[in-house]
Amino acid sequence: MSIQRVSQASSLADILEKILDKGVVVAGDIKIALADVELLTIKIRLIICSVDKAMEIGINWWQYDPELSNLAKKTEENNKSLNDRVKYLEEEWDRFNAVKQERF
Amino acid sequence: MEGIYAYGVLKIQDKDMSENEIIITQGIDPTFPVRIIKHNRLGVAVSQVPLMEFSEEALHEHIQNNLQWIEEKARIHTHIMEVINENSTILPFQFCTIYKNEESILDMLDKNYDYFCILLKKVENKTEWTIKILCNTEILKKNLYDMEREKLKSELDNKPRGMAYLLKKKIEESINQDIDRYLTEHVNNVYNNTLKIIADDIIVENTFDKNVTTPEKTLLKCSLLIKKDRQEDFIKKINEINKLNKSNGIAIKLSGPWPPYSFTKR
Repeated sequence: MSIQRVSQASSLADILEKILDKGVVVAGDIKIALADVELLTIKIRLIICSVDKAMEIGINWWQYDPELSNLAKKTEENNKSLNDRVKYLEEEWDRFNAVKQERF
Repeated sequence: MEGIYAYGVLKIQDKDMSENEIIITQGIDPTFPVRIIKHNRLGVAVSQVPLMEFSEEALHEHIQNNLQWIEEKARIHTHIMEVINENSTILPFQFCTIYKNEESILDMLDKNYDYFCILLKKVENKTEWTIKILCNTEILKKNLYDMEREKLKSELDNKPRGMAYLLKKKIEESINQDIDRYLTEHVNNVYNNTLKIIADDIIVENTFDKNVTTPEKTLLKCSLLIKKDRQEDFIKKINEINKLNKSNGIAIKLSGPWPPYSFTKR
């Protein structure tokens, strides 16, 4: 059996869990501040670990945040394409009406 | 202004390796290649990065408002680690460990030289795998229930309806009590008879949370340190266990091979 690479196959949460929380801690001149590591961990944990629990008590904002959710991203893209189509149809309708008015 | 992004430490296998040898053509900033800064028998894999994008303030800004940047860079970082780890063993540094100049890196390498040597010896030619044992308790409950019912079939058939109903209720109750014991036994079995035997080291990250109310439960999550030449054997064993337990709703999810991120503590 061949062994595949994980960098493409893994979720962002899995990757960050490895590269942010683990690894050798050496004193770099520049590092992600501890508070930011925590913030990022919370952002990511919120997406994965407590999804079920949070859903139960009605917290589901991340589902609608295109930054955090693929579904929301797709929805946003869908919305945009639908909006474009509506706009196009409205314009067509206006043109049609304009023509109609001239005709009578 | 540029800084030096440090990926991790590795042992120099080839003594004739030239200073600053390029090992990957594109680093975390694709303009600059990944090269090796040598110090005796150890090397640090590094690449240049623009400080505009990688200063502490910039990193803070990315985390606050630009998860896309974080995702892109986190994936490149992971990919570079993997490529290096395929040919040698790297002790990975934390994501976004950056130095102002080479002197600063050499100083860090010098200070931690013995520590790095000990760690490298421990993880040499080994990779990290993470496993999660998951269980859908609804499926398992139904199976256990059907099994019990089959055993008591003749008894149930001969009972009047009211009695049969009570007996069924009783079976259900006893299964709810047994399920935790069954799962604990299963996890212990996998841990002791497979994982412990095949891995050189194990870090248990969490065991199961009885309070989770959804039917999907994580029974065990742990990271394993496994010799490179035993990886295929390991995957085969896990697949066998999965085949046996599929109908019971229990599955082991595997991710790896990772560089030894979890096995780098003193």
